[in-house]
Amino acid sequence: MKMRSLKALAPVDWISALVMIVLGLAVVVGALDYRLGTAGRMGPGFYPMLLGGLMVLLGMGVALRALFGKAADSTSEDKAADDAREEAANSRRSLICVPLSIALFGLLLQPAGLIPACLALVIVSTLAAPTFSIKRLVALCIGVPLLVVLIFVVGLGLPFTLIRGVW
Amino acid sequence: MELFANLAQGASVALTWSALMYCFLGVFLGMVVGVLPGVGPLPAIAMLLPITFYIPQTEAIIMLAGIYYGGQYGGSTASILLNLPGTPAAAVTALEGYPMAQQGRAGIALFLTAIASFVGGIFGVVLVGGFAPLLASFALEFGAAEYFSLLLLALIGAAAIGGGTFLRSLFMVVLGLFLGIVGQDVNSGQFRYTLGIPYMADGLNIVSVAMGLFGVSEVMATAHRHRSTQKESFGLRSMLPSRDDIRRSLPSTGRGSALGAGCGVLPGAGAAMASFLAYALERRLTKTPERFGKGAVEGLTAPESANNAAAQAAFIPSLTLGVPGDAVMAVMLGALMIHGIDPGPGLIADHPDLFWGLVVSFLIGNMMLLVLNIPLIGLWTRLLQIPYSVLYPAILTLICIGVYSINSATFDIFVVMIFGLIGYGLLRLGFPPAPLILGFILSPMLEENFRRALLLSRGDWSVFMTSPISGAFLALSFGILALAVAMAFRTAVKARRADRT
Repeated sequence: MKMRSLKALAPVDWISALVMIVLGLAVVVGALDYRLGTAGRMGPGFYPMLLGGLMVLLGMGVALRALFGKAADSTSEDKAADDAREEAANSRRSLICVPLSIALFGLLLQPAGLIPACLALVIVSTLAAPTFSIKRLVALCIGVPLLVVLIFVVGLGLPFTLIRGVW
Repeated sequence: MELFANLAQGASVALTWSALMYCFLGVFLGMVVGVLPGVGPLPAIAMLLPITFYIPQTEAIIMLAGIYYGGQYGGSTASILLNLPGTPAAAVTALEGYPMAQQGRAGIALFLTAIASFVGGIFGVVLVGGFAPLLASFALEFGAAEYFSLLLLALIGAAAIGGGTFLRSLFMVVLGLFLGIVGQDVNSGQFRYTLGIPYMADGLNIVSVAMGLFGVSEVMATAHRHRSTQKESFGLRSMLPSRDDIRRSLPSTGRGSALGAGCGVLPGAGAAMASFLAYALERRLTKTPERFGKGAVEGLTAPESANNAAAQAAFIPSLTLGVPGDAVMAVMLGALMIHGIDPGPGLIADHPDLFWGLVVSFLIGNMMLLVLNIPLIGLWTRLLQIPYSVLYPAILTLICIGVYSINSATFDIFVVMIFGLIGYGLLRLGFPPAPLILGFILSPMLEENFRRALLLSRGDWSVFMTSPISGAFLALSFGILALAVAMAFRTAVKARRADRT
């Protein structure tokens, strides 16, 4: 009983509603830049305007439900909230390492070549794993680039520079 | 017999060595990614996308399709052995399959699911061959208003079964619709929401969006977790079901196949919904409901045959109407469009060799899967022992290279990263990603038909109601909406009542 009313106050609903309304408003504001037209002769702004309006309405719906309906069918939200609490600490690493590794891959691929890009991705993304093992890292650093070169360069003949200036 | 002539034409396409090889590659990889929990068919599609640029269209599609239905076969293995479903549809399989494994009947469960999958798959293929041409000729009559209402039905259906709460699923559909129009507007030439970035003029790439939302955000959510694995080995003898198992499985497999095929044909429904419904049906029909949840074979074979029948039948609306049933199919349609093939009512008439070749390749692929599945069970269980910390760096690499290879643009890699972050945030807030992808791929079609219908009617909105076909689709959509609202209301009232007591 007490638990439930606490859960109803979980900010997940409010954050969701806020995100939905802000995104919807952004779409509406964007659509103002384009010609609206009429239903019979729509300009490029008509359809996105409708979509943005719908997004705002749905966001208001979630906000209303958070206000009145006490945690209606909120299994997924409860789960999300529980997960969030449980993992907040140790998930921060994968939250940073995984996107960072992809960004490094994108930054290195053309200037440095496929192999350095793969190595950067593998090394940085490995840091997100629950345990660190130097043996696994070395194996991945040899295995993944080898696999990638065999499939995409040898097998398919994709025009990749393997290491800029060397290959 | 026209059908036989068509099948003969298809056989001449699908029975060449290269088509057989790519079909095998597709179903094998589909099986592999289906077996591995938390991997899913998207990285496999990403990995094979670059290959598809170097081989003929038909072979490319045969291979991509193989990943799709092969994944349905593989999904059951991890559900049964580890209670870790590889695909959403396989979550139902775990309900009866995992208890069977705990009772030492894992081999029998695996054997029965392989057979049920095969029966369901073949049933679905027959339906594709027989029904798709009919639906295509029916759909040729569709005007803009009918198409608009059909798409609306598909989107609302997808939101209703999308998981999460209905408002959130619906929001994801609309967000997908919005993301789908980024780029140059075909009617006016206006650039919309490109943020002044030249790469965005052609719009966002569905493959990058999907890889980010599903692949990368999944890795972000699970990379730091431990995954336990265990050793199991099976002899062929331990896999033979008893006579009682077979007697129980036969009718449920038949019912599952029929139900699954029906779900697959509906636009917006998919394999996951088929297995849920098939399981629910078996539970209602059985005389011994107490056996369910404790390893009842009917509850295993019905959803397995259903999801495979649905995976095949899903090609009917996807190919003849251009309306995919789930997110993976949406990505596949995106891949088809990259190859210059426009799925729609004209596809069968314009590319009969492609369509019938695909149908025959389904038959062959299902046979290959049956052969792969049972004797190689030892390989699949060993695959399950690869720790996730070794898998995910490889998955990320394959995703990045696959996405890059589409346009040779590093920009797409950053799109993947951004959508990975967005997907992770949305996941945390309880927004399901699948409806977004469906909205994304259907958006250009929806806007086009919306504009055209109202242009033809000179701005008269009643055009969507006055055509009987369009009116029927709209009525169905509102029915689903009303049902979803009523159900949400009922749970809310129940929760409140529970609160008071």
